[in-house]
Amino acid sequence: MNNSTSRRTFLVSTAAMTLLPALPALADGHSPTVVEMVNVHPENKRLRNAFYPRVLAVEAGTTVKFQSTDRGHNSAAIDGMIPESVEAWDGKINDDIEVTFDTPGVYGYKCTPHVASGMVALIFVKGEGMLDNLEAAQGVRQRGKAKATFEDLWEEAAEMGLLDESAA
Amino acid sequence: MITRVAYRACVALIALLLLAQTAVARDMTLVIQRLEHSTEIYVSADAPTLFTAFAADPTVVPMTGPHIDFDAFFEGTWDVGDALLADTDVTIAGSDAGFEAMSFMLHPISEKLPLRTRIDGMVAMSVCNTIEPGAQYLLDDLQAYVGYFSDHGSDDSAIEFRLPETPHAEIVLQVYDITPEGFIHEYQRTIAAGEPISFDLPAQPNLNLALLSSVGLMFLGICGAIAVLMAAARTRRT
Repeated sequence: MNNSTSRRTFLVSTAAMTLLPALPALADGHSPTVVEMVNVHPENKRLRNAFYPRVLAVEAGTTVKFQSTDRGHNSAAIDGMIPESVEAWDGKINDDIEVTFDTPGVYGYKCTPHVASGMVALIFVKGEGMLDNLEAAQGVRQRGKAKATFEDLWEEAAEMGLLDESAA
Repeated sequence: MITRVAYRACVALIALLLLAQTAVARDMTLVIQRLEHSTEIYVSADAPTLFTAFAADPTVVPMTGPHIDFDAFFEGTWDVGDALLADTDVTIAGSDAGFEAMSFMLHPISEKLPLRTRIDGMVAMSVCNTIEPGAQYLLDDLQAYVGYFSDHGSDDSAIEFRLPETPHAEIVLQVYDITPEGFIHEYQRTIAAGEPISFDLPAQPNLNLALLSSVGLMFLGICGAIAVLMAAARTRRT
């Protein structure tokens, strides 16, 4: 009796110890990663009208929620800055929108009314072929302040190691 | 009696100064943010003055009948800003600056927003601060704010505007010219049709010369003090 109880306790606790660390990961699979759309960047007050974070790396299959924390913003894919086979998204002003990124690649997106003021951002979806559309994305002509912002973002991505082939 | 006259004169003078200040504020305001690798310019005036000064067609502003269509602003308003600047040449240190509009925005004249810094400009031109949809405003009742960006650094270079030669009354321009280090230089310019307007920062003092002069003065002071001490010692001996 005693032996069987202690054996059962051992098995249950071993199973619990194995599964517990995996629970947050399981939860992550269902809750979306959030990108906020804000009037003032929380980490850099000099940045007005921004996505937060501005550079994000996710695994393929991740759902990203673009959350309208402040009013007057949206999230929309930039023509030529997403993989060719992927359908572009175009959120409405003031609306939250969820986008699932199944295809590895580089994704550039904007807030439609604020793109020329530099409200743009990048998502890197990890997996084979992540950097296949990098050159095309970097070659898209940007207007106004978006050009300078993207230069900063490519630099930030490089610092995060996302422009290395091994990052995928 | 004299005191009373002097008091009245002072009050009249203050009133005149206040009136002059109001007159300046009514014309046009310009913020220049100079940076090492880029330059930002923000302009504000009542909408008719702005379109007159740049000789631009106000019908580029989205309208429904005579009223402004603020809903359409959410598609982006940089094309309005670009249209405003289309016939104006802007140079930095004599070269084409390639300014592109970031945004254009209108607010009721009775609710003007401050414009003294780059952040003020970014807030004022931003479409997310737009008037509630459905509000009916005529262009003449609105204050316009527009921002431009150039990826040419300006540091202390002269920035020159050459506006179209369309006749209009002189416009007083209040300028806040901000260095890359954040120092704000305030000055005024007058816009006359067809004449170039130049924006320059005041010449910086030559630091090397100032340092050399200080060292020289200190050296002379020390020499003088030694001479005085030596003279005093000689006098005491004799």
